[in-house]
Amino acid sequence: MAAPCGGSGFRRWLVLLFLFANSLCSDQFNESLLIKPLTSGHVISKFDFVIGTDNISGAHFHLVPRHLAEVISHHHVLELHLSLTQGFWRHDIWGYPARQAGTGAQLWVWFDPDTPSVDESWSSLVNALSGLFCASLNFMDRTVTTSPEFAFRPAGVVSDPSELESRLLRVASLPREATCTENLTPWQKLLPCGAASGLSTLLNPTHLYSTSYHSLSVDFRPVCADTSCSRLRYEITQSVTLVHEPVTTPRRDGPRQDWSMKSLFGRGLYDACAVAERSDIFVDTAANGSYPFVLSPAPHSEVTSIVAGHTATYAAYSVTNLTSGGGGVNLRAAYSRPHRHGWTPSLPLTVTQYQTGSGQYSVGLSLQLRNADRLSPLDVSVLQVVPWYIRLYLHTLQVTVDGQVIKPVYQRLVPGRDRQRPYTLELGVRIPAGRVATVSVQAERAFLKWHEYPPDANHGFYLPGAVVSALLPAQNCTRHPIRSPPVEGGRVFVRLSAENQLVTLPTPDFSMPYNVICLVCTVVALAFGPLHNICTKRLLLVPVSEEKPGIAARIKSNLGRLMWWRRAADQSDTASSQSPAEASQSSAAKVKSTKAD
Amino acid sequence: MGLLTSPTAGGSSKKFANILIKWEPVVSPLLYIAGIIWFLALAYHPYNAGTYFSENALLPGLVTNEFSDGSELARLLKALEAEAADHPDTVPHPWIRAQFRQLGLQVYPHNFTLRYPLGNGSVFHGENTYAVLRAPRSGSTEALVLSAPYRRPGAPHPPNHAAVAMLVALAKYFRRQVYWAKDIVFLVTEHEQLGVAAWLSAYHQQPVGHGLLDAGDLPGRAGSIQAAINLEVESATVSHVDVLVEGLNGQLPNLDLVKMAHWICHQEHIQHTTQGRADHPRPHSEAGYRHSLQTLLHMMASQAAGTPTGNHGHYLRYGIQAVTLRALDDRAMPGPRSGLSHLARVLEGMFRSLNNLLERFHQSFFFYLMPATGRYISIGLYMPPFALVAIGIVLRALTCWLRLPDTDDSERQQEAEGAESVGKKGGDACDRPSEPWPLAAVLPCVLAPHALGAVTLAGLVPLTQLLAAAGWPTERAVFAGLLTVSVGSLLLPAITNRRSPLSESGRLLLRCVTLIELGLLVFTAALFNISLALIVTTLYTPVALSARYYSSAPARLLASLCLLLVHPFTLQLAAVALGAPALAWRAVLAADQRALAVALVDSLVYGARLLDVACTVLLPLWLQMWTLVHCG
Repeated sequence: MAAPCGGSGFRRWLVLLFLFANSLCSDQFNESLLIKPLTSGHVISKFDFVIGTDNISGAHFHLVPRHLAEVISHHHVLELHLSLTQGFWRHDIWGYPARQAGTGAQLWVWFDPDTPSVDESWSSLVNALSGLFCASLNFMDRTVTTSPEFAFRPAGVVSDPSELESRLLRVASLPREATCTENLTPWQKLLPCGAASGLSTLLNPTHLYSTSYHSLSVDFRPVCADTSCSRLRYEITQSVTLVHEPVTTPRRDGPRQDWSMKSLFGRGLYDACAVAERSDIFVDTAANGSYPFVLSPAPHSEVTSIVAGHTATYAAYSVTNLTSGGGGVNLRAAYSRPHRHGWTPSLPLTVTQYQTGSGQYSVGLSLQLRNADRLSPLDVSVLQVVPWYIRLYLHTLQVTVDGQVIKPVYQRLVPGRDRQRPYTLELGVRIPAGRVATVSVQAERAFLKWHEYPPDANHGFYLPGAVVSALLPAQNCTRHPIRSPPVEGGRVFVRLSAENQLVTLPTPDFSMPYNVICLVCTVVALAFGPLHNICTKRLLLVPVSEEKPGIAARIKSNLGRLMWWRRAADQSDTASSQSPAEASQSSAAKVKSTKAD
Repeated sequence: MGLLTSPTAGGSSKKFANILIKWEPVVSPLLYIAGIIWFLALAYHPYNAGTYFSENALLPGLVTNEFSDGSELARLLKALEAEAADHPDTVPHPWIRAQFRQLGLQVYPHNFTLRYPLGNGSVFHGENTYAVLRAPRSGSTEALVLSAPYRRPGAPHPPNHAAVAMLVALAKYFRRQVYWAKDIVFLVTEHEQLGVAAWLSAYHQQPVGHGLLDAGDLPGRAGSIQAAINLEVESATVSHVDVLVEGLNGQLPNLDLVKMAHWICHQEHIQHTTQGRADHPRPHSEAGYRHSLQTLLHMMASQAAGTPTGNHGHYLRYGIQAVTLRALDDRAMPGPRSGLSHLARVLEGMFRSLNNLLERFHQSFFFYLMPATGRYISIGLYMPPFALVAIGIVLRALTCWLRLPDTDDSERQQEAEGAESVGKKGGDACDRPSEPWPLAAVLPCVLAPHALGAVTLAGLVPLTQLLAAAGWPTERAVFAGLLTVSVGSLLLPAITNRRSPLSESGRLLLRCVTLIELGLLVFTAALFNISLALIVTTLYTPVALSARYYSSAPARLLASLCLLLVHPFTLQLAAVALGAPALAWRAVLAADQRALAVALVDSLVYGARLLDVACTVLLPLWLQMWTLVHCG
C-alpha cells in the first residue's frame, strides 16, 4: 500500500519541480485543433502547436526545439515561414485559407538588419532547413529566389519599420516538391511531445496522406510579450492543415456527411500533451445553420470570436477534461439532414491562373481576378515569380477588364537573367466592382542546355502560381477562435495562391543520343578487339636458335646445376616418404624450368 | 553546287550530266513503278511491323478494371433519352449539369458563337458543358479529357446519348476512386466538331477561324491537358469499337495511345477495328494481304482528306494526343455483342493507364500508317518508296536545267563545245538551244496561274455572299465559282502566250520551274500528310513527266486529256464519286457541291489546309502544265 502512495507523492514532486522549471524557462506550449465542417461536405482540420519563448539564442532550451532555434539564431533570422504542401487550396470551394501555402515547398524569411551577408545566410539557411525537414529546400538557389517589395510583409512585431527593406527578405518556392512522411517525421520531432501524446497523435500518416490537401508549416516570428509591447517574445508555430473529402454515410433518406475523429484521423484521442499549457479542440459551428449537426460528447463551452465585425461561434473542448475519464475519445458529429453536393461559397474574390497558347515556342500566362462585390472596387496585390527559362516579354504585360486595358495602381518589375535570377512581377490592381480583371503576359520558352533538363524532361517544368493578397470581409476565412488573423480597416488580410503551371519546354529527343551512344559503344567494343590485335600483335615465325650459349650463360647453367644438387640433397633428407620415381620426376621438372630460365 | 550552277565546267560533272540526260527518261518511270510496287508491298504482314508500347509508364492492363454498375448506366441512358425526347430542339444541359453536380464535381458552362462566313452570314450559338473531377493531392497542373458530342434527335449523325450517359456513370465511378493524379474533365459538346474546336480554343485562349469563331472564355480550367478520349456510342449493344485516329490536316495521335486503345479493347474482349475493318484471320495469305492493303488505302484516303474523322482531331493541333472510340452495332460484323458496361471498363482501363503517365506522350511514332489494328508502317518504312515515286520529278527537273542554255558569256564558248560533244554521244539531249535567257517570257506563265489561284481562294467567300443575294444556295455558288475558274483558266495559255509563243528554252525553263515546284510541294506535304502527298505524287508524276509541247495534234490531245483527268476539280469529283454509295450523277453532283462547301468552311473555321493548297499550289501547277502542252 505504501508504494503507490509514495509513487504518487514522488510524481507530485516531479510535477512541482517541472512547473518550477517551466516558470523559470518562460517557455509556453499551446496546442489546438480546429475542425471546420463545410456545407460542401469537406472537413477542414487545422492543428496548431505554438511554443512561446523569451530566448531563442541561448545555450539552454526547454520546450523550444534546439536544432531549429540554433538554425534560426545562427542565420540572423528575424522571421521564418516554411510550408510543405501537397494539393491545391481550392478557395472557390473551401473559402480562404488560414495560412497561405503554395503547392510544393514555400519559404520566406526576413533577416536581421545586422546580417553580414543576406545571400550567404540564405543559402546556408536553406541547406540547414533542407537537412532538418528532409526536403529539397537546398534547391532554393538564386535562380528561384526573389525579394518582393509588397507581397510578404513581416507577420510579427517589427521594432524599427524604417529598417525593413526588401533586401532583407528572401522568398522562394519549389512547386514540384512532394510532401510525404519523410517530412512529417522530422516535423513531429520538433514538438515538445513529439508524436507520443497530445493532439499530434492524431497525425496518422495513412489518413493524413489520403486527404485532398495537406500542408505542414513552421512559422517563427517575434511577438509582443505584454500589451505595452515593451519586451519581445518569440513564437514558433507549427501547424498542419488538412482538407478531407466529403465522407458520406448512406442512410435510408439519403447520404449524411457524418464525421468523427476516427473517420478523419483513423483513431481517437487519448490524452493531452503534458507540457501543454492549453490543449483545445474547437469545432466551427458556422455550417450548423444549413446542415445542423450534433456533436458528441457535448462541447464543454462555446466560444465566440468577433473579427472585423464578423462573429463566429465555436464549440470548444479542453482535451485534458475530455480525456480525463481514461480511454480514447472519439469526437463525432451526426447530421440530421441528408447531404447534397453542389454548394459553393459566394466569395468576394476568386483567383485562377492558367497558361495560354500552344506549341513549343511561345506561351502566355493569365491570372484572372474576380471581384464578386457589385458595389465597391477591390484592391489586390499580385506577386508573380517566373523562372528564367520562361522569358517574359514585359511589354506584353497588361491588365484588362472586359477587354479594356487598365493601368495598375503600382507595378514593380524585375527582369530575370538567364541562369541567375527569376522574373519578379509585382502589381497592384484595382478590380472594378463586379468585374473580372485579367493580368496577362506573353513569354518565350527557353531552349535549355542538355544537362539542365531533369530526367523526366518531357513532363514539363513547373511555374509557381501567383500570390494574391487582399483585404477581404472575414466571412469566408478559416480562422482560429483565439489567434485571429491580421485586421485592417474592418477587413481581414488574406493571402492566396493561384494554381501552379506545368509548362512544356522544347525538349530534344534524349533517347536518340542514347541509342546512338549504345550503338556506337557496341560497334566500337566489337571492333576494338580485332583492331587492337591487328595493330599491336604481329605473328612472326621465330626460328629455334642452334647457336652455342655464351660464357655467361654457361656459368649460369653450371651454377644452377650446382644449386640443383644441393636442393635435391635437402629434399631427400626432409621428404623421406617421397618415392624415388616422384623425386626423379620433380627433379626432371626442375631441370626443365632451369633451362627455361 | 558546281554540278547545278555550271554543268559543263568540269569534266566529271559534264560526264555525269550527259549520263543523266541520257538515262533519266528511262530511269524515272522505272523508279516510279518500283516505288509504287514497294509501297503496296508494305501492306503485306511480313513487311510491316507490329505495334508495341514504347512508353513504359502507361502500364496498360496491369490492373483489373472494376466498373460494374451497368444498371446505373442503363438508368442514366433511359433518363437522358426521355430528356432528349422532351427537348428535341435543345441540348438538355440542365439535366447533364445536375447529374455532374450531384456527384460533387465542379460544373461549368461554355458558350460560343460562330459567324457563318458564307451565304447570308447567319450566326450560330452553341453551348458546351464540362465538369472537372479534381484529383486529390494534386495541384491541378495536369488533366485528361473525356468528351462526347451531344446529338439532337434528327441530326445527320446517329444519336450519341449512350456516350453522354457513360460520361456521367464513369464520373460517378471515378469520383469514388482515390488513385487519380490528374484532373479529369468530362466534356459534352454541341455542334459536333465546332463545339470541341471552340472549347479548346477557349481553353488555350488561342483564336481559330480567322475571327469567325468567338470561343469566349472558360470559367474553370484544369491545367495542361495530357491526353483526351472522344467517345461516340451509337447503340446500347456493341459489336465492335472503331478506333479513329485521323486528325486535322492528316495529323495523327501518338502510336502509343492508339496501341493502348486497341490493347485494352482486346483485353476486355471487345472487337476492335481500324477504319471499320477487323483484322484478317490469316494475314500471311493472299486474301489477308488484299485485306490489309484495303485497310491501308482506307486510312490513306481519310488522312489525305485532311478533315478529322472524329472530334479528337482538334485536340491534336494543341499537342494533345487524342483518339475517338466509336462503338457501333454493325449487323455485318460477326462475333459476340458486348454491353455498355464492357465499354465503360475499356474507358476505365484507358484512363487508369493515362493516369499513370509521368511525361507527355513523346516516345512512340507520330507518323505512321496502319494496315491492321496491330500493325504499322512507320515513317522510316514508307518514306523510301515515296521518295522513289517522287524522285522522277526532281530528276526530270534536273535534266531540264542541264539542257538549258547557259547565260554566262564566258562559258558560252565552252558550252557550245560541250554541246558538240554531247551531240556526238547522241540522245535527245543534243538539241541544246543557245538563246538568251527566257525569263521574261516564262515569268507570266508562272505568275498568272498563281495569281489566279490566290484570287480564286480569296474570292470564294465574297462570291457566295454576292450570289446569296441573288438567291443562290452557298453550295451551288462555291461549285459554280470553282467550275468557272477551272473552265475559264483553260484559256490561260492563249492569254499568256498571246504576244509571243514560248521558245524552246522557254518551255524547258517553264518545265523545270513547274517540276521543281511540284517536287517541293510533294516532298513538303510528305512530312505533314504522307497520304495526300503520295496520292498527289502518284497521279501527278506521270503527267508531269510527260507534260511538254507535242508537235503532233493527236499527242497533244492525248496529253490534254490526261491533264484534264488529274485536274484538281476532276480529282475532287472523282473522290466524292468513289465515296458515294450509288453512282447516280445527280447525287454525286449534289454530294460534290456539299463537299466543296464543307471544304471551304473547314478551311475558314478550322484551318484545314486542303482547299488552300489545292487552290494556291496545285491548280497553278496544273495550269503551268496545261500551258506547257498548249504553248505552241
